Amino acid sequence: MIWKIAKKDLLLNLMTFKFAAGTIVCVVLTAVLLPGLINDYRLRLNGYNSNVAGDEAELRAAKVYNNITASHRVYRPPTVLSVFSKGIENQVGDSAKIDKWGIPEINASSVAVNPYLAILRNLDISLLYQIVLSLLAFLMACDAISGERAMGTLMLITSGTVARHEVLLGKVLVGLMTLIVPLTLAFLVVVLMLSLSPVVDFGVSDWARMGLMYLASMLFILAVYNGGMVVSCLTRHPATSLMLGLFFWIVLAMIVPNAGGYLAAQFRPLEPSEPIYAKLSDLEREYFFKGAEAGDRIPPEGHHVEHREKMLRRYTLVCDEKWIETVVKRHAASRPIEMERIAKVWQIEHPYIETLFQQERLAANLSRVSPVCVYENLMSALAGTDAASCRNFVERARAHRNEVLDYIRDKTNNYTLPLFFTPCTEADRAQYQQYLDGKMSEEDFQKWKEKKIAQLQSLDLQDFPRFICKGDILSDVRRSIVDTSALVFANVLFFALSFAAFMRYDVR
Amino acid sequence: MIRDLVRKEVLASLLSLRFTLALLLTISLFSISGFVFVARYRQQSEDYWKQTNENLSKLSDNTGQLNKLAFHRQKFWRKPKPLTLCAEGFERYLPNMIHSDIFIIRPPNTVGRDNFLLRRFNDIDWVFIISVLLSFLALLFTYDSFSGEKEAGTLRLMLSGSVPRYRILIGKYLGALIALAIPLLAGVLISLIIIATSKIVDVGPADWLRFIEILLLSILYLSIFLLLGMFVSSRVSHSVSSIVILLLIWAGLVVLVPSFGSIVAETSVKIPSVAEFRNRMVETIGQIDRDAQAGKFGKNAYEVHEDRNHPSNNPPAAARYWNTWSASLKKLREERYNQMLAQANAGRNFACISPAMIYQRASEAIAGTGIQRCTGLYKQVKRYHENLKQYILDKDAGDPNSLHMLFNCDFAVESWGAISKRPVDFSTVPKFQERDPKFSESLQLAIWDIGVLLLWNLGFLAASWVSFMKYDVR
Repeated sequence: MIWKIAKKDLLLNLMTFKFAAGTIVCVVLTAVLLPGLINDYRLRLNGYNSNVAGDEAELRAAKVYNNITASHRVYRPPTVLSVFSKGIENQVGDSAKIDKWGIPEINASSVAVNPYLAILRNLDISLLYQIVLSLLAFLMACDAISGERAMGTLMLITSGTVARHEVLLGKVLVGLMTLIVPLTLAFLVVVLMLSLSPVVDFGVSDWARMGLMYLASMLFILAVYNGGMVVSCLTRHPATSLMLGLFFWIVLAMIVPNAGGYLAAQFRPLEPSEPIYAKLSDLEREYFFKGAEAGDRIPPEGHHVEHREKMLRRYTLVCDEKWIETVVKRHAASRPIEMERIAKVWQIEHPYIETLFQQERLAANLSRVSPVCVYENLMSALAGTDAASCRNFVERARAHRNEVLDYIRDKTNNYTLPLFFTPCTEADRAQYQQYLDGKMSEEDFQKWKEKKIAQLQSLDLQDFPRFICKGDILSDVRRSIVDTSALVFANVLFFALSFAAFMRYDVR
Repeated sequence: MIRDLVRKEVLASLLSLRFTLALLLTISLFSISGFVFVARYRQQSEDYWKQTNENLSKLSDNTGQLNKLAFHRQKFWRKPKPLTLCAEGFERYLPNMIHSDIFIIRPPNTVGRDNFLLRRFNDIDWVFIISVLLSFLALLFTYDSFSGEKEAGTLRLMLSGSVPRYRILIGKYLGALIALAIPLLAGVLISLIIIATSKIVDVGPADWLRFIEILLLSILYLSIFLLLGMFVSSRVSHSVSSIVILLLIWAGLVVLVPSFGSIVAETSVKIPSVAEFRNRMVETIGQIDRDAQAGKFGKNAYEVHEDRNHPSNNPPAAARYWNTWSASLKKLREERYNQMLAQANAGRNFACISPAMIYQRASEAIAGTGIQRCTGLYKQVKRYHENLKQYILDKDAGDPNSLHMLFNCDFAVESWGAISKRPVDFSTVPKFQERDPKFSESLQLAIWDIGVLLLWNLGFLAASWVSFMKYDVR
């Protein structure tokens, strides 16, 4: 009987103007928006590839191990699934510096990325579903019961042996079957266009994520439909259900998503960031002078010649033994001060970042009242564009930093070998000593220097630890369990409410 | 007759569920907006005055020597404004601090209590409530103006009398406008009462005028949706079809088209990436250094020895070198700044296909907030630095011991006495104060947008007129 009710309503729904209009608009808008979103992804991917290539080139050009810590950066790859949900990808920095002077921490996008684009809202496919498909779901559900009552057919159906719960279940089933059509069509358009795009390369994990996103979208639309059913079961006239339903829709789809962040900022205000950065800046200054003092206690001995290939690639080209000893001692003296500074910076910066995460979690919790926000959280978790994904990148960057520093310590015997700061060999030192002793003319020395620069070999970094940043689908799915449960709960709650209301509904 | 029709429409609306819900929702939102605004304004004002006083105090500390004043970097903050209650203009996300000296203005920064981990959300200001909620309600008020009456059979009855169709149209329009204006005015009044009684927000006479102007602009904006509702209602026979069409149009105009602006911005105007910009800066500096080594600025332009009389020093050459360096960096930074603005404005201009975006932009122009304000602040800071530089040069001219050379190398300027080291009176030093645009200037910025909104109104009015004249009322 449930199936019969569903089939009857399904055929009716498929013939309605609202279904046709909603489906066409959804599919057409998806097809129109997607090329722009793919192009945006392409630009970001090109930027990422260029940055990674640039970093790789810098590593290959490094002549001493100290160069690695001056210029090495790791980058967060853009995810193709950001076409579904951009999340906060554009707001958070996408790179981390790997050096011995600081622990990578999550930060805002650099000022060099355009901050004025904040006046324009991010557009992605999930926004389209949140607005168009949820509207369609509400419109279909709002007169499911009250509309039938107004037509007189509800009285006829229930006057037979059809149980009320069967009628309700039939209505829910038909809602799902009807709304699956525009959702599936829109998803197919996305998958087709992405597959045909030359810049997109799907892995198994991407397909799995898209599948989960499809299921999440179904759950979301069903929750909205069930919400509309509650309104329909509480009112007698379709016009009233429509009005009430639309009011609920505007509150849940437009007001609550904005109110969450708005209220979180009031309930848990943040400390201003400027004093934090001023403290960090003072700390840098204090430890700069401490480091300089520690260095000054070891008087410079020996001679050396510096060479600068580029701004961040400089090293001691040639030196004598005494200079090597001086540098090693100075480095050993300044290292504990550096470690102290890094620890203090961490103690100031990290708690501040934690308060940002706490406020973000509060905003997410406050807005979980609305299925629209829950859906948005779910989609961005599955796309890997939420705050937790950005934090994962930073944690991997920290792990990579530890690997790189261990690698350099290993190669330079805890920074004591000359190759840490100079490519100068024993033979070079002997040659330089000759020049210092006056046995080589200035002209000959300059020629020798130029020849040395031209013949310098880069470091062999075949065993250098590489940074790999791939999304972990299992951890993203684990993270989305709360929001998935919230959507399931919303479905169950709305169904229970409509069940309770419909059992007492006056069908006359 | 029109008066009777209007009265009938207003009474019908006042007794309807949609009016009750609209009133409740609007009053709630305006109240929340008012209270939250007052709390936030208090915090912002405390932060602003603390930071500004710190800046002035540091400026005062540097008046002991004119050359120190020349190299002192100041921080200029955006002042909190009462009119952000009406149109916050995404100022929370826009750069709010400029850190600069008389040589180079650094790109404006976003510094404060903002959380970059939060998904960007609209502030619940008047513009949000009116452009999203009230425009939605406007459609709900008029979606069944004609189709609903046709279904009920009352339209036929009305027209079987001697009531001309145009009067019915005008009567319905005015009735809906008055019915929608009631929750709008109630909400606005509550909001204004909250801030006026807060004793924290200082609202001047000019601000009250702007509030009224934004209110009138809001009515003009909402009128578009009322007429759109009437137009669609006069094209269809069933209210259900009317509401479906209107909701989809609303979703497109108010939500999707403005969001599409971000994609248009990024694809239509390219700005160099971080790496490209850094490389360009490095190349420019490298070229200037090479020119200096080649003697383009004079002999020993590079050299800076502490002793002014050292034979390697060449102050005029050093001044030319450093001035070229500052001017080139300044030019690069300004170019990038202009590119960023052009990109954002390209997106916004596209999004102004939507009346919601036009309304947003016009409200920001009248309120003096948003991206226009940021660019205005930047220009004011530039002008201020020119004035400050002129002040320093004028003061320096009176010192016969000075070399009268101002360039961006503090070590050299101090060691060589290139600029006077005499103290200056702090009260005579130019101090920066953000100037609000005059009422006429704001109106000038908004006039095109107001004109476009009027055109939308006229367009939908004409369309409704033509459509209703041919409407089959049976």
